[in-house]
Amino acid sequence: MLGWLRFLLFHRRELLQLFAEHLGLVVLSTALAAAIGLPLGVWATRRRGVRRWALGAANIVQTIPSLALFGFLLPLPLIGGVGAPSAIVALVLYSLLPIMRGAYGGIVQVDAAVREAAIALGMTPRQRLLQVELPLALPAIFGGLRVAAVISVGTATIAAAIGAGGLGEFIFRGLATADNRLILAGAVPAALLALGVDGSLGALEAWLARRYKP
Amino acid sequence: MNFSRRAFCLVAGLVMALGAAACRSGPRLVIGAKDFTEQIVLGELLANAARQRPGAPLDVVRRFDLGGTLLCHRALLAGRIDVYPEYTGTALADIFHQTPPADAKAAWRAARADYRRAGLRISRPLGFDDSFAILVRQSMAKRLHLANVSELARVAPRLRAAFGYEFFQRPDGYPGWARAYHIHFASPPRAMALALTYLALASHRVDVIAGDSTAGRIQALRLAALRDDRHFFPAYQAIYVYRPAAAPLLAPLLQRLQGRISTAAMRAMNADVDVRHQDPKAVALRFLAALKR
Amino acid sequence: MIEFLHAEVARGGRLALADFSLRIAAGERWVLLGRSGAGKSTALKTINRMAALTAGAVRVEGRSVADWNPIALRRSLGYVIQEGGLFPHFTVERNIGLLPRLLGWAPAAIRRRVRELLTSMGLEPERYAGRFPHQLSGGERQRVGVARALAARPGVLLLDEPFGALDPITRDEMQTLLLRLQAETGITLVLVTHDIAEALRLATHLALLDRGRLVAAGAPAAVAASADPEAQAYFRLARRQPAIGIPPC
Repeated sequence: MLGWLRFLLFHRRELLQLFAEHLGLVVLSTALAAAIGLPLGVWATRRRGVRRWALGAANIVQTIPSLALFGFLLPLPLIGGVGAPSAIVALVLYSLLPIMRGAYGGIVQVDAAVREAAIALGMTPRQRLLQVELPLALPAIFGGLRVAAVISVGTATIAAAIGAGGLGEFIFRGLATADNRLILAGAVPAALLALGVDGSLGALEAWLARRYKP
Repeated sequence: MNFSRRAFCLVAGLVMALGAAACRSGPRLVIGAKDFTEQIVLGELLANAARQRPGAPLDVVRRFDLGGTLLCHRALLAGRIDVYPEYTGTALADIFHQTPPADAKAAWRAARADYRRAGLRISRPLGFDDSFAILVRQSMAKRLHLANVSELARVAPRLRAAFGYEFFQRPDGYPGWARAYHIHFASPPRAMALALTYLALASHRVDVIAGDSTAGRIQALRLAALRDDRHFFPAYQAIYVYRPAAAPLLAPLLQRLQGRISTAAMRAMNADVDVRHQDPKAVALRFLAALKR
Repeated sequence: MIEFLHAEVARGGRLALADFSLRIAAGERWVLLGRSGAGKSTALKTINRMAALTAGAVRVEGRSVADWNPIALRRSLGYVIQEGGLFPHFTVERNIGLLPRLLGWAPAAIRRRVRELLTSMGLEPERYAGRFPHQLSGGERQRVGVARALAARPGVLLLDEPFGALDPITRDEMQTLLLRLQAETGITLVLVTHDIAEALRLATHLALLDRGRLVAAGAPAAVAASADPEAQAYFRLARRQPAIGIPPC
């Protein structure tokens, strides 16, 4: 244990850099996935076709092993290639399902009487969405976001397979040389990062919930 | 209900089969292999040669899922397997913790001495060398007139490279190699999964990678291996390692295989399995049939 | 004034409402009566375009609802639903003040109006304004629901089985409250119920529906005299009810 801590201290520069890369991958991909997945999830509550195709596609993506997904992405122009772009695309694809599910499920489970009241009061569709449906779906939406972000922290270790850096580099290097200290130097900070990301999103949710309840 | 009954039948059948196997008299050979294609093909070659032994066919047990060098070595020392394929450079570096000499003959002799001290024996080299191979696209090799690694130095500043993590970590890997050949790439080479470097090279994302010299994909993806003209990479000649007790059974089989498997032949067999998805056993049988007895 | 002209709503290959015609004048208290699935809720919802007509017309203030902007139409009509449908993430004050806020009233005016309504609903503003719906009893929730529907001073109040989920005593209190409010403001009421006792207590006019059709309409006495078997069944029930009201000592 003490030896390992000394090992970490020795590699602190690199550890810090890989940690920052890892966090960057997770934050960027989760933000992008939210920007795509939340509107899609909401749209899916409005149109059955969107629900079937968007959720179905996200489901299928979820079953593709990450190395195979990288294999598909490698030859693609713009979004593919070697390095961070491919990794971010893959992470976004994996994050879409929980985020869309959260938004879709959260809005669908809003009480029918509440929905009816909002229509009967003469709220516009936009007002109903922003003032009633989204605030009431907030816990489910954040549930999806948190699942997506925590899974991303784990999946982002695979990003090192396509040269995108992150804590996975320690893990891959450790695996290549059967060096447990290196593997742990990647895995333990990644686990801590997952806890941190989950906690931060929880705090953000609490803050948003407070703002919505004046 | 139904399930547990079926499970019971399965277990009972298994026990009987094992009992039968144990009771059967006659010589038996337990063959091990690490869990990747080339090792499995080498295991199948030996297993089928044993079945084809003139006179009585040998009973063969296949243990082809051993995950790594040290696992195989320990299994051999413990007598759980009788023989498995290995590479001289790997044995010297990973088992006996020595720097493998660059000269192939010296490496084989050093490995034989080390194994003898450990109470084990090795075959003569099988004929091919599974070393790191510096790979480029055939088209690029033709255009830039590249045949040797030393010729890479002059064009490297215009090229991008990606290597598997192992190549960065090994003493005979990237840092020493780049120094030996005075190679500087356009940007620092990327570390990524070995399997993906082949794809990255084939899809023009990078220009230089380090693969296995016997990988089946070299031909399938139209890649070219550059010659290690300064002999930087140590010899990784393929051999079989075995227990002395199994020597009488193995001698005629090894006689048949030693020095007969060329790099091209091994590459083709790997490609049959990895690229054309053929059964390793069928691939081994075809090779044996082509070998003159 | 609300006018139904051969209104029809087809839903799932079946007529939820068929050839429905009725005139509701300002200040009247109409009760749409009928069994479950008789089409009374559907008829109510055609007024604020929550249900779409497939034939015929409904006129509000002389204008066909099809010509109204649905948002403006709904904002001009008060609407109360059975469970209240209060927004669980809004306080009582915010629930009641929602429509005035959407209409752009000044915050001070909204505040004043909320307090006024709470008081007239028998809810102390200081105690109730800041509460959330889950902190209220069923009757209190329904009072807030009525207050919310009245907030922007609509000329018509539509109520869809508003007291169906309440216990008998609370229901009685709510009926009394509704009658008092109507007397004070002269608002037009259109209320849906399946309860003949409630209908007779609240209505100046009854409209009896059966399987999507209007079978009798007019003053309660006129409906009672109708030869229609559904009307007779309802009034037989009504006549029997006082007899079971008082248990022997």
